[in-house]
Amino acid sequence: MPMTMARTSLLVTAMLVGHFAVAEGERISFVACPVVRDTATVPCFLADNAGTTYYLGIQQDIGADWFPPQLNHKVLVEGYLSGDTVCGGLEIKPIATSVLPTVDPACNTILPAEPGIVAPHAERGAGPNGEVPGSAPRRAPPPPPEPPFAVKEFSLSFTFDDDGLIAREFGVLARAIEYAKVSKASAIDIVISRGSAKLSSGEVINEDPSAVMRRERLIRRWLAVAELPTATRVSIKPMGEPLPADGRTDENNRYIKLTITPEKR
Amino acid sequence: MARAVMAAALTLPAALSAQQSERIDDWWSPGQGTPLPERANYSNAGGMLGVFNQAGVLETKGHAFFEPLGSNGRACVSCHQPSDGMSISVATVQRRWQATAGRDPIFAEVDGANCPNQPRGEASSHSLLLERGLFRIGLPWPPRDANGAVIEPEYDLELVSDPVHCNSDSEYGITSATPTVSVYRRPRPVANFKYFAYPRGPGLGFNIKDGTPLDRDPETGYPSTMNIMADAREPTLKQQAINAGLGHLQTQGRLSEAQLKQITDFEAQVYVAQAYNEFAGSFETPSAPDSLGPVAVANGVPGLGDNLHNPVFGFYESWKREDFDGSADGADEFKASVARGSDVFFLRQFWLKDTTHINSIGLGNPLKRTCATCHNARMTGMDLAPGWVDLGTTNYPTWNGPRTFTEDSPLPVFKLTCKPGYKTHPYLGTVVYTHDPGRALISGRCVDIGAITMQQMRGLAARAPYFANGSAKSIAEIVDYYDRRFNIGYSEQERQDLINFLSVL
Ligand code: HEC
Ligand code: HEC
Repeated sequence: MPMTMARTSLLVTAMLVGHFAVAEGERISFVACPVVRDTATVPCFLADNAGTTYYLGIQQDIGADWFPPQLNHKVLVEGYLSGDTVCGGLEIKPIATSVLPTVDPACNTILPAEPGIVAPHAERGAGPNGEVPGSAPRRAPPPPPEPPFAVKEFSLSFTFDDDGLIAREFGVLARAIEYAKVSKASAIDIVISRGSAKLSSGEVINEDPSAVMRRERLIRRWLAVAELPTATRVSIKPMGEPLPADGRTDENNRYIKLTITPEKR
Repeated sequence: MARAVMAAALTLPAALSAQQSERIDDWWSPGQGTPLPERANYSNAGGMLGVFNQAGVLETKGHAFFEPLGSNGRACVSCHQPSDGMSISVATVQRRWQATAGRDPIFAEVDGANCPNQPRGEASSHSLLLERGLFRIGLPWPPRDANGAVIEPEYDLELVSDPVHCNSDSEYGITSATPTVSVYRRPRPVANFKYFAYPRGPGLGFNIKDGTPLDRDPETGYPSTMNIMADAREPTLKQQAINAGLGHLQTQGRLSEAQLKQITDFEAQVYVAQAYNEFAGSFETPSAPDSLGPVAVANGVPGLGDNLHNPVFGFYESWKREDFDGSADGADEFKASVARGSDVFFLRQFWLKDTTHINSIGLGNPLKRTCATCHNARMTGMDLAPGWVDLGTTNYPTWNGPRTFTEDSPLPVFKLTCKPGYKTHPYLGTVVYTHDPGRALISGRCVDIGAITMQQMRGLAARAPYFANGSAKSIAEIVDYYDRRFNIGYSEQERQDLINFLSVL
């Protein structure tokens, strides 16, 4: 079913039954087991918190903007209520989810498809793909950087406690490396953050110090193959203390930041 | 002697079908010196396998792939036999044991015995090769990087069970003077490489599976496709050939550049696929599906498959037709079954769950998809991103043998405990029992424990048993493995259709 149709009909239902208790735009943040809801098309990923079911997103492809969580792991959910109900849960959008690293076999619920519970349209469905051959279309690469060169910052973002570099963030890293080469960087200063999250319950959770170490190992592996100019001085500063959580933008405080200073001319 | 059947025309003479019952000995001896035909067929349980050497008839006299180059009398062809889909089936291994009273060079102690420390000429010393078609792969412990520097593993490795007494051996084992971890693996088909082991151009080389840089070709510095060997330890076919010479062939030194070129040229031009079935006849007629047979494989264009536009193994519409002649020879039924089997492979959804480097790469766990989600590359069904995945074939609980490490298994069992501060195995956690850590033995990483590179799905009927550890005895056992592993619940018809489909690839 096309997305617009599904979304509208759900909206109408929500309005009819008077779901106005939902505060649109309200920040929500919690840790829970993800719950999978099968549908006639792709599965939806939900999570329950304090007696309410939230809708996180649907199964897609690795070209998608959002990656579903994982059974066998708890998920950290951070975002804002959209006011809509989707796939039987209150929609959180925009949303950031983090698969927490510890294996938790208790997170293991797959609910069967039920009439009336409809997943939004997926770019690439569970079955054959009628529209796009292959996976997500490639975006054209940005043009190479041109002088004059100035000090420039590149930031790679990560999910909570994780060091996995996804394709989109790799694109940022590749541009940073290219910029360093083309501008004959005299210095690359790298800061590796230790993030945190303030949950709706008021509790604050900090990233494990090992996440910072893992991010450092990752960036070192990339620097080893980057073929940077020999004159480039690289400094790496891993954070010891976690950044303070504000309960609003915490999803942005897990990063590797590269500041590139071009050659002095 | 090889009695390969040359197919002069596209359509095979009907008389050839008689050869299914009477299996000819197609054994290719190292240095036998007969030419490899441009196009040959070899019979097997599923019909006939086709081998196509794109460059034409190959003179094998003096050719480095076919000549014994080392001290043990083996050639590359010893374990990569044309008749066996350029691998070697356990049935062939057993026939060689019988025919030579265990003296064929494939049984050389170095890796054709459970351990070089065992009495020569006794079947029990070669039980893993005779029963499962497995050769010993001895890997340095701890792992080394491309420059020979030690990689500090993220886990501690302990030996839990050692039924074949190699990993515990004072001379060959983990605590010997040259610490070695021995795992046991099937030879992989040497063919169809343009689809998954091609040279990549320059670039940073992003491994989309784990966000790290791809390994490099030591000669060009370019990233590797990382899709050969069960653990992707060899970045290129050339590098692989150097080490296969030193290891399997026991050559004095490195093969010469000329020999390496001969080998890699041959690897780039040889194609294998099933070509004939008793019921369906030749797969190389104009009315047959478009991606069957070795010539179609040679002519295909590499890339990702797509279910509707460019399916991994082509279209089967011509076999789906209702207007078959309706004869009682089973042809219509078989063709229709294969066509349905293709649909089972591409369209039948199930919950893919807890597989490292598939579920863990952002696709979500579980993932409601199909066989083709993992087996996605045109013509071969390889995974075009580096295809090492923990499918559950080597880690416990296994779905193809004892469920727990405490039960008897003919294979060694290792206990891997991840050190604090590292990402653990994403579904099994900190402690993993396994009989082959796969990629983790090379990378030293916990997330890679049990990750095994997918194998191409061509010529299956010629080279049982399956999976890197030979744990599936037949194509039916592959299908049953998946049914158990992912709780698919195939109907009897779906199961049989899928088996028939796999048997014609
Ligand atoms: C004693 C048997 C044996 C001999 C002889 C042998 N191989 Fe292999 N070959 C194997 C095994 C076993 C593997 C799988 C190893 C693994 O997965 O770790 C393999 C894998 C390969 C692969 C990887 C294919 C893929 O798709 O992953 C290539 C290529 C190959 N061999 C080429 C050669 C060449 C070239 C020679 C001669 C120089 C040779 N082999 C000699 C047993 C043998
Ligand atoms: C999660 C990814 C994944 C899915 C889904 C998957 N496979 Fe595989 N397949 C693999 C991996 C990994 C291997 C290699 C495993 C090994 O050798 O231990 C493999 C190997 C194979 C082989 C080759 C065996 C050999 O020895 O050459 C066949 C045939 C096969 N799979 C068929 C199927 C079928 C049929 C399905 C659907 C029921 C399927 N696969 C679904 C990952 C997958």
